[in-house]
Amino acid sequence: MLEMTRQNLRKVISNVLENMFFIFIESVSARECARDLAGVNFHQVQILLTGPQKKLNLDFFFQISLAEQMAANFLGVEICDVNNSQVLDVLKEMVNMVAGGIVNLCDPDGIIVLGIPDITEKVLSGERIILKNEINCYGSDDGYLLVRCLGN
Amino acid sequence: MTFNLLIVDDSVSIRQIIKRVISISGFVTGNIYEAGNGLEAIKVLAGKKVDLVLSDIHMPEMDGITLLEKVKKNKALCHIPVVMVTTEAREQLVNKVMELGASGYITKPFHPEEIKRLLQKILGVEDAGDDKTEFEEGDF
Repeated sequence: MLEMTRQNLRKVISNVLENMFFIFIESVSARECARDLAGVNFHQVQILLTGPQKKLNLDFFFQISLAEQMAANFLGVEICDVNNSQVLDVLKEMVNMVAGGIVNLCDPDGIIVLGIPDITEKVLSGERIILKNEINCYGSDDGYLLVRCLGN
Repeated sequence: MTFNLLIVDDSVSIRQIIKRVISISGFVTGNIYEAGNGLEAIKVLAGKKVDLVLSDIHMPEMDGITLLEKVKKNKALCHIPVVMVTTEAREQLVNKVMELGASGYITKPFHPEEIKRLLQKILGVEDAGDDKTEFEEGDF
């Protein structure tokens, strides 16, 4: 489950971001990404996928500029018209869609239970996030998305 | 044809998007009600005349499947079409929902055309008289 998730992660994230948020991403190395993260802050959203013997925790970190652009694109408004509550709501929905896309691909038997996205109120610094293990980095014109899969 | 719509989703953004899609598609709605979960939806259905429900599945308090079951078991409400709009596309769940009496199933991420076509079919409207022939970025 974990390995299949990692293989499909980029595909699912791209599909959701392009179709619902009109944002295009490319994979970047953690080293390349780390150079740009000094003083940059991120929102964190987590979702848990639970099976009878397996658990998978997906951790999403959205650079704030990316998060705001996602919200603006999703809602069809200008960035200046988007408030923080809307941004956080949109991020949760994005994570919901990605997690749903993952289980649709990796769990055809319907064993895995999808959790409800949980957003961390506190904003995190990019320099601390990049130090975590197993970070997948995606770059876009509007900022970085960092994703971590932990589980079995 | 005017209809009253109930949108059930814990995401305010999704509810806004769906309202916008319905509006741009040219459907003439009467009242559009919103609920953040199945429990709130039941309260709306108890007091308002609703002709169509669009509901997410994964929600706190009461999920969409429980809502669907309750609606279909209630003599006063069972005639109301319920369409699920959700991230779930696994066959088992889709089959279960359709067996429970859902009138349709739309998977997120969705294209506005999918909602439009399904609603046209359910409401028996051939052409909603839309202003646009195609949805563009920014419409959605």
